[in-house]
Amino acid sequence: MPKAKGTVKKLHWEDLPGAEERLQTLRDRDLEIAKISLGLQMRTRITTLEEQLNHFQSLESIWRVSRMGRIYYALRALAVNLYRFTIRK
Amino acid sequence: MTTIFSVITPVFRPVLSELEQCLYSARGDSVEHLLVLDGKDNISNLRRLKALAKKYGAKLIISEQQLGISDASNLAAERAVGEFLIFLDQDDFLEPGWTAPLFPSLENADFIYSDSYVTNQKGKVLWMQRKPDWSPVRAIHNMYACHFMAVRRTIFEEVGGLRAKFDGSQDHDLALRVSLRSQRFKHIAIPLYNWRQSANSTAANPENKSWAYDAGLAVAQNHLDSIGVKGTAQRIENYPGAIKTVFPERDQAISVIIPSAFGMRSPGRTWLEDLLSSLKPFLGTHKADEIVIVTGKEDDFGTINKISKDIEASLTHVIDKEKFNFSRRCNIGYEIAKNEHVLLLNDDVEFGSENPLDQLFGLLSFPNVGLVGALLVFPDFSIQHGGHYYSNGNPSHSYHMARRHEQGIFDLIIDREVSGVTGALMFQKKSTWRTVGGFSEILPLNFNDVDYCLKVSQLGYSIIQGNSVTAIHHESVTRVAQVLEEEHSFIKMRWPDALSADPFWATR
Repeated sequence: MPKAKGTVKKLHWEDLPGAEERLQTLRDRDLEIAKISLGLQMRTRITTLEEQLNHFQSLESIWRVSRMGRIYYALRALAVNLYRFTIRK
Repeated sequence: MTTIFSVITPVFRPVLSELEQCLYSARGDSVEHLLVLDGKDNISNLRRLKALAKKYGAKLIISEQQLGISDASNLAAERAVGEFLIFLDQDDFLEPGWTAPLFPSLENADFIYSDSYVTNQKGKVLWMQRKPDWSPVRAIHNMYACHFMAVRRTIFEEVGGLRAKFDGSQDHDLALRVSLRSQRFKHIAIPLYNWRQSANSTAANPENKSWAYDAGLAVAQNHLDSIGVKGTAQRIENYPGAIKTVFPERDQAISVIIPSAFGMRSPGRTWLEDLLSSLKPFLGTHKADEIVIVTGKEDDFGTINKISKDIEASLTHVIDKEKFNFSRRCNIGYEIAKNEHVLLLNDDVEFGSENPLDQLFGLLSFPNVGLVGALLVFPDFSIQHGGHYYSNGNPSHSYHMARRHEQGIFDLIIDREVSGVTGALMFQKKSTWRTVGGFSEILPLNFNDVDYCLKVSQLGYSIIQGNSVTAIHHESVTRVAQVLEEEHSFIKMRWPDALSADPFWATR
């Protein structure tokens, strides 16, 4: 495509119609985004804490059904029953 | 016990001691391990293989004919019952307790990958490969998410499994096809995989399997075609495994915004003139190309007149009488700009690479990309800016003062996702700028680009560090460098969590 020379213009920003209003619209939008962002960051913190809680709970449930876990809980149940039996005696 | 993970290992002329370590490492309560002997003659001791499989509870599938890695893996996948498929090479091994970090992600992810170790032949760790969070553009240009990867079996079946025509980079192809089907990618920032440097492995010497890199190139091109990006995938010389996309000539006009104070580089010549000299070859292909220069000064020392005779684009000189505020000047430039595609430049930048505007246009055309930056170097070619990274509440230029090729830094070679790019060179659509509310005037001098990029990311766009575009940045030669403490405090207050850690900074 053939190259073309363009025009040269000189503008004073404050002389343009609605100049500062246009910048004010941007400022308002900027603040709006900032508020949304802070809200999202707080929500992410809460979600992360929930995930960590779920992770610990799932680890506990995995342990419960694993071989070592089953042995542990069986021994624990035996110990509790022996203790109760001893107390009754 | 429910089987959650199906570990698939194609077997082809294995070193049996290494295979035994592989089998031992993969054991777990919720795990099944499927070995596929790829061709019944491709083993020196079939009896020993059967004994190992029995010893470690693995299912052995024997293929009479040699199928190749993809079809052998697919054969195992057909028999898998686990929710997730994991691909483990016969000479590699997994970390103890590898399943535990995966459980929190199982419900919400379709593709999970982790950091990994590279070990010597004996299995001793040499170094750790840290990886960034899921980066679709990076993944096209470098397959970083293999070793370790877990794919949801239903998704694997939906995308048609591994493809034999991309053997050597079949995992790369799989990851990219899954990314078209699902956005649920999860990165586990813990090494779960040990990649052994066998004598003939790519871990030991990338050139061992140059055919694999050719396959990777084909994978990248296939993916570019799938997502409708008009570019050609090319290997990057001296960097096996690294790919760049070369884009055709742009088909739309551009507005270039340059805030300037007409600083003098030498008697009678401003920095702005040198910038536009470097940009001149790439402008004017479209009649609507324009340059918008935003200054606080009436007197331009004859610069505009000189430039207008030399450059083939429209020139607009906008004067803003208010006290210097970089954000305000940028916003004024964007308001004046007529075209949708806008390049923001500092006046102390000079372009150094081929077709920079075409590359910037092309990178912006990737799905979901909102902003593109470039690699900026000092006049001595040390790195000035390789993308922002955030750590402990502080933003920084990554690899500042590093030597790109001397140190072989991959992050500076491939185009990749980053948390932010410098305001010295930013390319985006005007609509994006308007959507995020422009640059914040509360930050007049510094961190306005950091704040801007965080706003762009917050709206769900990704930001690309376009390392295939290089420019020299004579940083702060045209104004006094000055950081206001209140700006630093403001940015930390506005982004308390976003600046604490960087998802794309692998060296963390």
